[in-house]
Amino acid sequence: MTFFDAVVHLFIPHDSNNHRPRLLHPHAFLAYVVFIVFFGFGIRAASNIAPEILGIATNISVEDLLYDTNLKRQESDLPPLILNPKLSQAAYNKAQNMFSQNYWAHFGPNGESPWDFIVSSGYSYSFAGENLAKDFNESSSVVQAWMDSPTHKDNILKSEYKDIGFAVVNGKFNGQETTLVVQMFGTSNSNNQASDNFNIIEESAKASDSQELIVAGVSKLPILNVKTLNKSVTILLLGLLMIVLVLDGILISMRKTIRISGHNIAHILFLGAFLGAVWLTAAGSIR
Amino acid sequence: MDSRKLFDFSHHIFHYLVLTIILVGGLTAFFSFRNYPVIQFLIGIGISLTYVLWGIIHHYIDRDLSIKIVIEFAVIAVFVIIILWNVLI
Repeated sequence: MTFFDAVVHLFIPHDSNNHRPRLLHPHAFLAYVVFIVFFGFGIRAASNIAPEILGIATNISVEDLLYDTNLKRQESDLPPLILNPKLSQAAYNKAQNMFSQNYWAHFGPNGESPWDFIVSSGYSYSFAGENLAKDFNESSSVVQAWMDSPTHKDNILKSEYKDIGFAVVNGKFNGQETTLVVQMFGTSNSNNQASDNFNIIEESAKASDSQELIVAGVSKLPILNVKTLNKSVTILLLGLLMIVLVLDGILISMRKTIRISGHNIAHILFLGAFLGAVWLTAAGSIR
Repeated sequence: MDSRKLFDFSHHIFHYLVLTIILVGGLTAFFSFRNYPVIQFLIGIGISLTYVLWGIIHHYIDRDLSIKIVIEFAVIAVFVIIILWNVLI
């Protein structure tokens, strides 16, 4: 079989492929399924071996998260929240607990609640709340995702809150690299607010290495971003199949070929819908 | 089966209208759960299964339903589900 014959066999309805391009045969779709599964597992495994080459690109900083959160509050005529080291410590402990216990929720498998972390960090509250996010690439996407969700938005725009803490921590869930963002809100029930603020400044000045880590955020830029590569390969495969389906439909229609198969229009609509869905799918999830 | 049917909407305009409603409704639900990938994945499975059902009913009414066609719709649905798993989960 020459190269030309092979191309015809794969892409064009012809005697050699029973008048259906080989790329559209059910066996070919099963091969795509196997390819996607191996490719998905393969790049995840590769990202564990060489994350600096093939990894998750992340650029999330506490400074940007605080700025974006307070910007949203400002747009709703609310006072800005003050970054509180105790709430940041609580957020950091919560993130570490989620990684160590391998869960992604407000409440842990052993009954750990967000309030436990806030209280154990030394912050005594009258109001408190928590927003979670993971797998986002940028700070602005995180805050926008929370603002798109009514319950998370309520937290950000709650007038009772005075203080805020953040933790941006990298780790692994189920062997997969993940960036967790924990946002803790609070209002101290201490009567001596001025003293609390003084303590905050003092603690910031004496920040330990771990606290600096908490404040800084996470910035990673591998040579290849796993998610972008995954999405690009998927879009290319779906796009290729759409082109072959359209080409096949046109040729079959022109040649008036009679065959038993599903209608191309239906497959084009279905695959086209998911091509759009994959294309527009945003990274990240929130809780 | 008449080959002219391949790109002819008119003889099954209602069927394709139903398919379009399924896909538009499904994708609306899909995007309304942006940032909830597990729910999006489940919605994708729902749309894919509905697509297989649509294909079976469509070809049954068309009187050309065969096991080959059912398999064709099923493997395309599985393909989309695996793609969503890879991108979302």
